[in-house]
Amino acid sequence: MNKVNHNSTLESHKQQNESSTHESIPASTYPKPAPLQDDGIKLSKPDMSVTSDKSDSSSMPSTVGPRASSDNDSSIDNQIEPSTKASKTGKKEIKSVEEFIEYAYSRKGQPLKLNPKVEKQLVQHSRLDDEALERLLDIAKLDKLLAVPRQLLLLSRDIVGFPTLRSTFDSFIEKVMFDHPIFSDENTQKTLRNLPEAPSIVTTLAKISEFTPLKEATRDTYKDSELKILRRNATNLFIAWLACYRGMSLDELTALLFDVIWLPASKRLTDDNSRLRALTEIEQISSAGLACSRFKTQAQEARVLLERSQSEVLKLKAQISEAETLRLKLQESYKTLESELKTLREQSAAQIDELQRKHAQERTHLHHDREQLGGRLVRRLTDAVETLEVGLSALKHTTPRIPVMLERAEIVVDALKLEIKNLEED
Amino acid sequence: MTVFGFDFGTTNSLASVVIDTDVITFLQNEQPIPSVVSFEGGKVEVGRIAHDKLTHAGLGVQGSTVRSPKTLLGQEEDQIINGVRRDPVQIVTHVLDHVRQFVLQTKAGRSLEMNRVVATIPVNMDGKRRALLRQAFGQAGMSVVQFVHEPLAALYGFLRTTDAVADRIRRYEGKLLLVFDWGGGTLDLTLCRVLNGLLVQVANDGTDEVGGDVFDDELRNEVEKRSRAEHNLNDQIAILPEARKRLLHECEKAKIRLSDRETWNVYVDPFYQSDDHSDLQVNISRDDLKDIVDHLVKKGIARIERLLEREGYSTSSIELCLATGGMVNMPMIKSRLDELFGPSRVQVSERSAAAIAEGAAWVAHDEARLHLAKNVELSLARNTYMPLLLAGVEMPIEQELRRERFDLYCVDPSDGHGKFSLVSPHRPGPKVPLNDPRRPLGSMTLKVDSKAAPFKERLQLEVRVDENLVLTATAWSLNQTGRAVMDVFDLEFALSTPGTSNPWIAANLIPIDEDSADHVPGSLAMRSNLANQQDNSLVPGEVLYRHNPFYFRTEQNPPQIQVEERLYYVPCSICERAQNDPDCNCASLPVQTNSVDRRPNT
Repeated sequence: MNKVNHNSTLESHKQQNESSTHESIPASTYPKPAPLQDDGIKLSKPDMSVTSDKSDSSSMPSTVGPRASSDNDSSIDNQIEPSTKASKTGKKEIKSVEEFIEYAYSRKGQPLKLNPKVEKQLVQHSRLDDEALERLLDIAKLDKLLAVPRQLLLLSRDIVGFPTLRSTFDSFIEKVMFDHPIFSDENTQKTLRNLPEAPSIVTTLAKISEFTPLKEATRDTYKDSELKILRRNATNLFIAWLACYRGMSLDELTALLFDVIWLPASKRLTDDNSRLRALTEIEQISSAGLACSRFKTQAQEARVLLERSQSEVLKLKAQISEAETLRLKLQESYKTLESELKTLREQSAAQIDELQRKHAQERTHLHHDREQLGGRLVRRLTDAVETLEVGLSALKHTTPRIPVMLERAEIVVDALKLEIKNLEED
Repeated sequence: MTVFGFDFGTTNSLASVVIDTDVITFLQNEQPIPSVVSFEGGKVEVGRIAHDKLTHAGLGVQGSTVRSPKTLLGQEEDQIINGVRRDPVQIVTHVLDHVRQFVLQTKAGRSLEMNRVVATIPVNMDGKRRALLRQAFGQAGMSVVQFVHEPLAALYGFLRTTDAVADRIRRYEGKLLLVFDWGGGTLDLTLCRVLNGLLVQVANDGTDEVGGDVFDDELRNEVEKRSRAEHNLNDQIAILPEARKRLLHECEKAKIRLSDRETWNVYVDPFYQSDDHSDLQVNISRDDLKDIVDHLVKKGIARIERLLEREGYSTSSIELCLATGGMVNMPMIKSRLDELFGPSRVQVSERSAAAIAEGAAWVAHDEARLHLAKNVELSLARNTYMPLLLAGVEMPIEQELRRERFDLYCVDPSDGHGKFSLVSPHRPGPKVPLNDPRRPLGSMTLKVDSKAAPFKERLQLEVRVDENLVLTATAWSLNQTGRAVMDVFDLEFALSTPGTSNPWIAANLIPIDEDSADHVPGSLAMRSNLANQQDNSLVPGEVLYRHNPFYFRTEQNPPQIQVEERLYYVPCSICERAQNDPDCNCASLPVQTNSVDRRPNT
């Protein structure tokens, strides 16, 4: 038989005298109800928070306190509305927040409801003075298992349009929580206050669910079963706190409880029999249903999301494939272009080389032609000079040799004429 | 790298190069550079300056001036010039270097790096001289890619002067072409034939007795003679120093002038060492010139006729006479050529002085290669020939070597020598009939084992042709030490023309009338004792009998020649005289039927 670990227990709402396998908490644990007022407040039966070591296989959410009204809305109707009951029985009406809180503690953790008429009354007397607060805190100390604060917190969520009233309830609950050892840890308080240096919610929740009071520090001693109930109540209170003050959604809270509380607890069910036992000991059916429906919805949403994602993935894959094909095409085109460019460059380089070569050749030819022309002219002129020199020498002879000069002059003139003609033709 | 064509001529030298599709020739003031070196006053002068110091025609050393140093290559001794011993290779180097420096200092030539040349050589320049010429080029900073014979270069250049080169080659396919190169120093004649696209030398002739300078000399002598006669100046009247040289130059000019003019006055002043008459003036007419030099022209033209007659051709056999050299511009020479061959077949190039250099430049540009024109063969036993190098094989160029190796057997080692005889057919081309006459290229002997049987000793023969186109044959025995080596310097070559490939694969036999190689009575011939395969029929009968008498049994049917060879050395069985002894008449005696009777024992 596996022991239940902190919060993973089912709550079965049993009458104190019911025979059950669940262990009942003795009534002395609870504060004695305030004496019945004549306002006719009819108190409910004592809170019978029960822990069960035997039925801790369930991962269904647990609620602490009287039977949850989740699977039976009529149980809400069965909750005592102070004013109505009072009128019937002739008890005193609740006219102030103090009286209401006191009343709430007398309910010992049962669900609370506020009818409009009472609400109106409380609005007019919504403040708690110090004396009243101190008195209420004393009463709260008697609720060492923290059965009531969650109900007050849930009630406070229903108050709409009366921020002062709501604030009164919230601050009282906060004081109660911070006074309690399970929330007295500095880091836990930082988390509750949502300070930057606070540890994570997961860490804080885990800490609360594993709370073990210090032997010397605790103001109360807890039996094992009480400790379990305390842990469970504190966990639920913390969850409700997160919903109220962190704005966490039901899905987020469900996921948080699943990850930190329910799943670890379920893993301790190691055989089919213990699992079957846990499955068939779910008493808070609405809780289980709520959680399961949330999970199912999440699963469905996740499936839809998955399908959508898969569809998108397929689309993206198709797009990637198209892009890849395009990329390959572009790469191919790029390679082709690169190759063409390389070929063009080579051709250009070859053409440039060829042009340069041709240019060099042409330059060589031009140089040569010029030099040959120059050489030809030099030769012509040199010949002409030599020829005329001989002619002049003949003329200067004591007997001038005119035919010699004539001949040479003719030759020179003819040669120069020919050269002029050649130059003109060139 | 650009390869130049370099004409290192007897009279003038010239360099040309093909740039793109045109050839440019590096003339100095429109003239080639004279191949003349002067060593006067401790200075070395080359070219025109040195040429102007020449006093008369003729090749070789004239005082301190060397004309045509090419002719000095290969001489055993150095030349003594102005009391200084000078190496002919170095003298040649001066000319080559001068030409190169001239090219490099021109704007056209300075970017061309004249480091590699195709050098032209005369037909009769042998391998030894080619090697020396290559050395001279090397000393002048140029490497010789290939040697090309001058007439082949001129022909090649002529073929390249047209765009339709292939058509021109086809036109001359199989025809005889004459290259007629008449320059200042020599007259060279070369008979060529175009065979399957190859320009093949057939025969050549030449002389230095009718060079252009000899014409000038003759004219000068005649002019001086006429001048003295006209003015009654006897030989006692001296001539001023240098005056004869000036007269020579004036006569050279007169020769040229008389191409265009009817008369010309040769004038030198002062000429004589005489107060009365110092100048020389002689009027020479074209007819006078003709009379003076006609015998030289006739002599030159006669060389053509002699060459053709020697080779068995007539002038009508010549399809083209390509005339190059400065002298062909003389009208009288041109007209004689026209008379001989007909004007349509005489081609005088416009730039006759540059034809050879430009041809060499085209050879360089086209990378035309020399090929062996005729087979190089080894005589084998029983007068067969084994080709060592086939006609058409490419000749090596710069830094190349062609090498072939052959295994041979000694057929008859009885005298202890293997006899190697290299020959070459007269007929060009690879396919030569066995009975075509051969020209001996050279022979050598190698020591072999005289005790060995025929075909026992293996011999090896290697023939190599180097870049100087010298063939070296080396033989050795695998059993013996020692080698025999011989060089052949006068191989004959052909030049491939553009577009030629595998020129002689389809070579046909040419029905030309070859002159027969008649033996002079009493001449000796070496009988080869080599074979390239084991064949007993190659072994002399008397040698084979010693090693294999069974071979001569009748049923083996030995070749008759071997039987006769064997019997030649067997004495007469009756009189025991030698077979050829005139005193042996035993063969003519009647056969004795009685076995008792014997032939007289004389």
